[in-house]
Amino acid sequence: MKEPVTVGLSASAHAHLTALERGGFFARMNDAYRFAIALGLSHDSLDTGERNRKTIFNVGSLDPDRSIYEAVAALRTRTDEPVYRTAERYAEWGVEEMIRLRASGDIDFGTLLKDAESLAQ
Amino acid sequence: MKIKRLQIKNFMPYYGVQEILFPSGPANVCVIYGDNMRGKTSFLNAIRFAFFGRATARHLRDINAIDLFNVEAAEEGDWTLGVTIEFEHDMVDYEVRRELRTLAHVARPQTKEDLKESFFVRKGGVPLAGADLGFEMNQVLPEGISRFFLFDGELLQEYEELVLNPANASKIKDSIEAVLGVPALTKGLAELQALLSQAQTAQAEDLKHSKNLQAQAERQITIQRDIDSLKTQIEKKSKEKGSFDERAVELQSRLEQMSQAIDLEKELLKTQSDIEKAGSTLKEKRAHRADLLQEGWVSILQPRLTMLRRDLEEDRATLLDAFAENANLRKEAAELQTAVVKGICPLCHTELKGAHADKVGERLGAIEGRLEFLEDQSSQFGAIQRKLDAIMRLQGSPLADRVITVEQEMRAASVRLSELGQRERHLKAQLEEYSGRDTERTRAEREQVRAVSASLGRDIDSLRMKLLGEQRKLDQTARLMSRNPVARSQKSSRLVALYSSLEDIFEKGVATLRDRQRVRVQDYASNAFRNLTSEPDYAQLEINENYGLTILDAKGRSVQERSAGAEQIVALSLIDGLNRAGRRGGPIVMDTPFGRLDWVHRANVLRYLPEMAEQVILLVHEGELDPQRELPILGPRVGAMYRIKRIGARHSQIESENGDIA
Repeated sequence: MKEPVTVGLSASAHAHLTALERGGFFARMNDAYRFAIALGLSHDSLDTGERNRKTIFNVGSLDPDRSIYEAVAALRTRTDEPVYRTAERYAEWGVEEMIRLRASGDIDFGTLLKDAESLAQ
Repeated sequence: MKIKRLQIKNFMPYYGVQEILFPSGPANVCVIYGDNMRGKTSFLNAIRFAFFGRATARHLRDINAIDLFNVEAAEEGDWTLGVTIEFEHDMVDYEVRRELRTLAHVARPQTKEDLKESFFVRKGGVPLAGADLGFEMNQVLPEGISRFFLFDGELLQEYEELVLNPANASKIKDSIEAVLGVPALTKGLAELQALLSQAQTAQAEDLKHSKNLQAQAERQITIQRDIDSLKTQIEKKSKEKGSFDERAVELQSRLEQMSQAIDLEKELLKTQSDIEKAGSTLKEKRAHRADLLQEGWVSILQPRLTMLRRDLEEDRATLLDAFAENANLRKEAAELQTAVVKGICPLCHTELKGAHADKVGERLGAIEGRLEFLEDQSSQFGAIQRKLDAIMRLQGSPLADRVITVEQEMRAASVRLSELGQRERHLKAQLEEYSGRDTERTRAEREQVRAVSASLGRDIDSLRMKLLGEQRKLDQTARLMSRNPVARSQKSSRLVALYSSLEDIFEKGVATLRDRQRVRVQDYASNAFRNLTSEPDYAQLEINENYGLTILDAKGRSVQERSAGAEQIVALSLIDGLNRAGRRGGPIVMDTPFGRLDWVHRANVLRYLPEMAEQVILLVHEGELDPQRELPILGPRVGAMYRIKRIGARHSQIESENGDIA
């Protein structure tokens, strides 16, 4: 399967991603996007809908060392589409999840990471 | 008298019904902690309101009754307030309850005329009414002595002024004489003087028809008229002066508030600068976390990557085992093939035939099948290894602890920011109350009012001098006339003689009472002073005719230079002296009494306090009475402890801390 050269999000998730960056949660949008993919992957939860996604990043700038590609390729359970398309689905879910976590004011990244580190022991 | 229980409802910052139980027995000290502006003075005012129906602000100005209602309760439409005090006096239980509420037809009161006040007293469970009520309360707790019972920082300041400059302290001198019982005689003296004046008028009227005495009688009538006119003028001017003095106090109070506004503005500026700093700190911490989160995505994948790595490693181990098995099987297959070709058993070297040959053939078939399977598996080894290499590249350094630390710092900065924001809003609301007031204009008006008052004061002094002169003339004339045999037979002249003698007796009585009470106060105050001072060379206090006090050393020499702390100790000693000389005992409620005292003097005061009265209620903040360092000095004498907590800007809650008492 031919891998796409760009990745994106739905209009609503894009607005949320922008809000996360402007709210100072992430230094750059691509940090927030990568974190969203990882959050989706860690829960193995992805957006299953077929929706119009607006292009946001070139794959080259988002994943210069292909580590995102490798992580998604290694961990994804859906294999009927290019890896970066699956990454988009994880990102879509991850952004919405972060917005849900943010409803109480701040996102408790410390606890998220701590839980992940203890599970990895 | 001992207060047992106090219940407050919707009074000033105290929203809803709140209750305090006071200790009894040897642990007679009740400590109530509260930060500034939380309601310590309002607590004192609640007691004052219950007993006397008034609450006072600075300079003893009455607080408008509408301002006594709790704002939150009023906003909810509850315009009822009340204070109930249960106390014991001479072994009898009393209950005093005073309430304020709006009149039936008033929804939101604008003036005190829109309010209805109710006052109830029960003595031994029986309600009192009418004249009994006033009489009883005056017996138990006359308002004149309330300043010694409800004692605030301002009273202490007035006493310090008295100690420093007794000549300017006529107002406090009147209060002191009231507590010492001097008015009982001075009022009698004033009544006698009025009777004497009436008798002199009657005498003149009686004698003006007598030939020999007509001229003196007419003179006396003229003098009497002049005296009456002078008295009317003095009364009028005194009233006028009183209203100017009241206005001057009001303006002074407003100026003090304006000066408070300047302090508030300074505090607001500092708070705003602190908000900026806390905001920057929060921003920095957020940026730091955002930097850390650049690698956060790798960390969050670790549980799944670890699980996958373990699975892959297991698969790889299985494959390595399979590689070893492969080699052995190939060797065995080669041996079996050779045996089949040669027809010789590789183990027993006999000829292969029949069932034996079939068995070898079966084994060879099984090995070849297994070798085919292992061949397939080995082709996956490369893929597993590549995945494992990728996972190894996705290992990040642990991040959680660093992010948690930054988030804790963010939360601390956020809490500080929120507190500062709240403080800023509170300060702005307070400053709004002062807006639009012109300091210069107020100061100019105060000076003008003071000047008019001083001028009226001079006029009154001059009129009094004239009055004194006229009274002397009248006495002289009356005395001359009384010597006349005709006059002596008149009843009016006999009354003049009687009232004159009684006036002398009362004048001497007032002087004697003053002298005796001064000596008593001096003795009590000296005793208190010796307990309170940390200077061993200070032997006693000496009282002057204006109740000013001088410290005397062991050789009886007066000590001229006194520190601010020493002034406060002298003032406290005077209050203790007056309290003992003027009352039959009872509680003392002290609001912020430790002001400028150093640690040693505070410790001395704390040790002496439980002895100052039957019951001591202290309203303090932690800055003047450290709960760790100083409270233990009171030790087992502390019977109850409460804290006034802030719920909102206009809502304070009194909470018991009795669990903390050792």
